[in-house]
Amino acid sequence: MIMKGILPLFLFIFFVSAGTAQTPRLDFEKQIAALPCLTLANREAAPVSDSIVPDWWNAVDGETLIKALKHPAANVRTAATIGLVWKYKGLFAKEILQEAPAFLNDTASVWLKTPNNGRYWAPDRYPCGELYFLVVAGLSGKNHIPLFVKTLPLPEEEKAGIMSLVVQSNTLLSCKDALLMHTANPPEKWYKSVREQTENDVSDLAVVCLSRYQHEADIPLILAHLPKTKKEGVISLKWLPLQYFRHPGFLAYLLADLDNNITDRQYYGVVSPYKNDTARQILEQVYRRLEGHPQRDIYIKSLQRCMEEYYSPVYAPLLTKMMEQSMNLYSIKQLPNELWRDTPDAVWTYLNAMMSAELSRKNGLTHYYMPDMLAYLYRNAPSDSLRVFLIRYIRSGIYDSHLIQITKYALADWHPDYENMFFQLLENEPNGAHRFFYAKMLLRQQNPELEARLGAFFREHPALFPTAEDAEKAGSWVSDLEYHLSELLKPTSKK
Amino acid sequence: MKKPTLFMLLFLTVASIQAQRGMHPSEAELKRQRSIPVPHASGTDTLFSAIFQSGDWKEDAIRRFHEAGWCKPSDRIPLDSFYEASRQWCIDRMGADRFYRNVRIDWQSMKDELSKDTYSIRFYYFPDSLTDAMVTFKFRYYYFMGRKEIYPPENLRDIRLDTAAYSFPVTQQKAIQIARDSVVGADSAIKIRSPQFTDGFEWRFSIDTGKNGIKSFYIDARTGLVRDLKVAWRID
Repeated sequence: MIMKGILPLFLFIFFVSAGTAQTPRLDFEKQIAALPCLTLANREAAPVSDSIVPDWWNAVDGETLIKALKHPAANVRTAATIGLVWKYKGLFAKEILQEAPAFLNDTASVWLKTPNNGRYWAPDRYPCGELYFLVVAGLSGKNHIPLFVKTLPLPEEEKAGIMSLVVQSNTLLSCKDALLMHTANPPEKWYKSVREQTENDVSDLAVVCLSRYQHEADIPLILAHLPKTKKEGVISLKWLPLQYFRHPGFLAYLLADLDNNITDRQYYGVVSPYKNDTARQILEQVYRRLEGHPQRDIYIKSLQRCMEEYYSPVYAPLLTKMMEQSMNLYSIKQLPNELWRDTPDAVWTYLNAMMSAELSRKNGLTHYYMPDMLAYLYRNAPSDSLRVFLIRYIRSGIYDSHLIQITKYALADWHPDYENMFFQLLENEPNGAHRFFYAKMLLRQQNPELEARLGAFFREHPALFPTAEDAEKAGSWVSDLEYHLSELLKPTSKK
Repeated sequence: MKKPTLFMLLFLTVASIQAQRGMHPSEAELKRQRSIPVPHASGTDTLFSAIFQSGDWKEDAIRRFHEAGWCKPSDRIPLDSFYEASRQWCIDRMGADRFYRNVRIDWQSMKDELSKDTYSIRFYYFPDSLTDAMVTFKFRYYYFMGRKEIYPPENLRDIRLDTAAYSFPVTQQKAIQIARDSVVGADSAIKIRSPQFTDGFEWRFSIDTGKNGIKSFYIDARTGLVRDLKVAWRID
């Protein structure tokens, strides 16, 4: 009887649970905050600045106003809302927002909250652009709030009593990102408005927008209105205009402002792309001034990376100098290929010094950097340099995982000098699997003389003859080598 | 009315367990599937024929198998004599009856590995008295730089020296009992997972005893002796 009762129950739970799992419900509330705002629907025609705005919010910041939106007193909430609109009204003027559908091609449903806590749902979903979202956000993202300013088809009596409005959408509606950050080429018809806003110091964002237009004539205006805030959240607002608009006209300012930015890594990133003498001069000064700084290594690394990313021959002397002085900081993988072209001697010296330092470490990594160094030389240097480097530094005790990565370069461009190198390795290598691998590399040349020499070697050193276990272990490396070698020899692998 | 319902439930339960077992066969079962009994007749030709007759091998599959180097005569080693020597070596040590009854040959091992300069023949031994237990032993023919050597397996005992070499009274259940009695103790909350059978004819245990750490050890399937008890503690 029990079983008879359990089976249908089990089946019921099974099917019901399967059904619910397939119908996830989007939590709109989490995707977009419910934003209490005053709708300006019934006052849209009137200039906002003429409204009943008390003076107090003129002095307060946006974040305080946002907090005030949740104030228990209705008049404070109203004042805060109007204050937000007024304070930021110029930044995204109506003519800008009319273009919003291009960026916010989503529809949203709207509901309104009336004084007696009643709710009114708009009968339809609206294109976000038509809803005229007004972004009153700073770049920090904390006070990111869209306001609704379009007349909704509501009965007049309900309009009059509207206290708040909530917009729900299935997108994040990140107007800030869409309109500002990702609009590399803003429409020309916005330009006049944005320039006016910059001149009037409406917001720090205005100058950022203006820089997007990249008008040479705006340089003095941009410099005069650069945001004062340095670090706000992740992005420093101060450098955004100069990141978006690279022009030699800014270099004088960057040089003059050097003292304030010795440890500003975004500043390095703004200067480096110029790739000229002034930029080099600035970066050299930064490097010099970092001397003695407690966190010098961190900043030096950033400086290096910026110069690598925007490499130019003018940076070569400084880069090589940094390589010599900060050897342990440098990653070979980031070494610009062009650096060999511009300063081969310096790079050669650096690689040798780096390798010597690595080999001299008693408890350090064994040949850790060597594959990267060889890869660099293979890409850029003449084969003689590669061979000299390989023969000079390859020793016994290589990591198993590096064995193929290192020896493939010798096989890619075989030279009789490598014979002695492999025989020397055979003699000194304690690992039998490695010895088998080296012997196979020599046999791979299919040279009877070499084979005879190898035979004589093992007759002379019978204890060094690899065992069957060694052969089994190293055999898979031999197979892998063929693959890696063929990849290396593909025409695209060498620049 | 009761019986059909109960029968149905029982059937569903057993069927689902069987299906799960089928989806996750044991290692011994997998090895059994990819091996065949060693033919009585000598010669690798016979062996290769037996391999291809054992499954549903199409001509095209055999051709591709050969092209990849499997189950074909080697031009570098005397495969016939190596195979015969391996077979005879096993027969001498475990007896012909046991060899043909309990030993299977892994046809995937029959390949001349050029990069390794080694030819291996792998056998699997499935002891009569044990379930889910299997031992691998491997012969290697190593030919490198003119040297030719045969490496017999080291884990196969000689019945001529020890008559109880292939008698395994300690089954998995008995081994678990020994583990509980002599290592874990009476704490019934400690769960003992099924041990694995090693190529050394031992049951390998790894038991999480909670505050007393993770205990790993071996129990000899011939004698029931516990050895190599080690304790490790989790640091997470």
